[in-house]
Amino acid sequence: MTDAIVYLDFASTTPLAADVAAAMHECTAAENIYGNAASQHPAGRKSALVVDHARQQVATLLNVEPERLIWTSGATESNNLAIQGVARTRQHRGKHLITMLTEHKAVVDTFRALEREGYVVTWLAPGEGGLLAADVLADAIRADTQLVSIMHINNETGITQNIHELGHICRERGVSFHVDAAQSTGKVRLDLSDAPIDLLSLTGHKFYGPQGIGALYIADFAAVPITPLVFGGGQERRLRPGTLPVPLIVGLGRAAEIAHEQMDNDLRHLRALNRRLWKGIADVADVLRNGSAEQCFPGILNVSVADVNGESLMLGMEPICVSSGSACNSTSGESSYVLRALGRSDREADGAVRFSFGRTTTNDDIDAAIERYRYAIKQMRSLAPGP
Amino acid sequence: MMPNDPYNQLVRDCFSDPQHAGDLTNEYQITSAATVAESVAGDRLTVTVGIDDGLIAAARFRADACPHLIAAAELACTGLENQTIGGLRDFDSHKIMRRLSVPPEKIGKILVLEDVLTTLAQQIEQSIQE
Repeated sequence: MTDAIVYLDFASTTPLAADVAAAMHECTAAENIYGNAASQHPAGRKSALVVDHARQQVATLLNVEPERLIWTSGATESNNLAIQGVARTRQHRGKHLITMLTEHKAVVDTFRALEREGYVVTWLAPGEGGLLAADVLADAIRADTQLVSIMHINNETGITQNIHELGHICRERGVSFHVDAAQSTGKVRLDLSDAPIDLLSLTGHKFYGPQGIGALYIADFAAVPITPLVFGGGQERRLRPGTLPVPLIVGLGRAAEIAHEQMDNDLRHLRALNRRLWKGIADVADVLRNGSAEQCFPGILNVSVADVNGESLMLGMEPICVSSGSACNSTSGESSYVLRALGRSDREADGAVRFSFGRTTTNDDIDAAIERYRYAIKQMRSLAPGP
Repeated sequence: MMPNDPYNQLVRDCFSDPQHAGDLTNEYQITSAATVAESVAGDRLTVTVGIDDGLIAAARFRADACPHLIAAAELACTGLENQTIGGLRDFDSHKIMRRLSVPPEKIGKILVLEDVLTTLAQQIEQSIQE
């Protein structure tokens, strides 16, 4: 078995693409771009030029006007800005908000914070296959509902919500619709030009860009006014003040450009890897697939066994880098709330492993993961007491 | 330990190559086993001891548990061998927790080992009296 690190945690963060690193290096070292992009002197204008170019690159990826994008530090900030921003602006009209039980912590904790301030949040449970049914959302919307926030691709399972259908429900009822697209941007086609989506969060480091940079798409600044979270300058339409991190923005722009060009090839590659991985572990006794192949993004495969301690399974799998549903690997001390919302037991959630792979993953990486997973399960089961 | 590494080298060594995992294979004057299950996370630990002439001749464990508890069981079995039965009651969980750098949130798991050894001591004392 391999002793080399095999990285299969792309849903957590992706490695920086070499071309992205080169673009960032060129910006800082070769082009010597260091000016404050808000300054009007030549050095500032030079920075503003590359920032505008990057904004266009991201806009092209999403098929939107670049003016609809504002830079943030990543999806967590974008989610906070969208959810808190809309909720606070419209609180005089109503304090009802809607989201799902299976959202990322960046969304869940934001809504929890708003609940503590007196907002009322409806937490929708996933239905068949982890999907949110349109009629369930329609029934949950009230006269005082101000915002619905639903993630596109789930970070743990890869289950992909039909955001167009859900967005139309919101639009018909005049409710703002926010999508956390941290896991989908740059990985699947997102054409927002005619999508019923008011706000969309993205981050660079999930699609081979740098960590620490993301964006929030706002379809219509007038129709969806947002209260900023921080104050201190006029940048980004006063919604996100602060000096722009130019090299990071250049990196995000280049990552978007590459994703736009390579997306079809990437998806084909991921589908092949997913099939190979599942074929290699599907016959492990009592293994469960969390989310069907038809409903999931192919870059994520989440599997569970109920009779193996999740934390020991993770350690037994080293040096394969994967994520776990185990309580001991979470800061909350609970096993995955996402998997439990999908109907998995505590033990099944605890024994879950998320394999996530990407552009640079090879068949050898997958084969090494299969071998280690099978070995670790066998070891743990052979060590266990009898029933 | 590298930053973010929840396990020190001793935990890793005991986990990857536990010398006392499994069942007793020889015959002993007294053989006793105890199992304790922790209700919250579902961890289970069985320790079996074989006693000859009042001494613990061999100790083995089986576990469906986290790495810290597996490592603690391995250290406990190592330490129990060649001890008198009183060694089961004299087991020092704090010493093992320090050696394994058990984080505070895991201390409850190590108490499972304490409970197993206490149960074993009671069983053996009872069987001797009988």
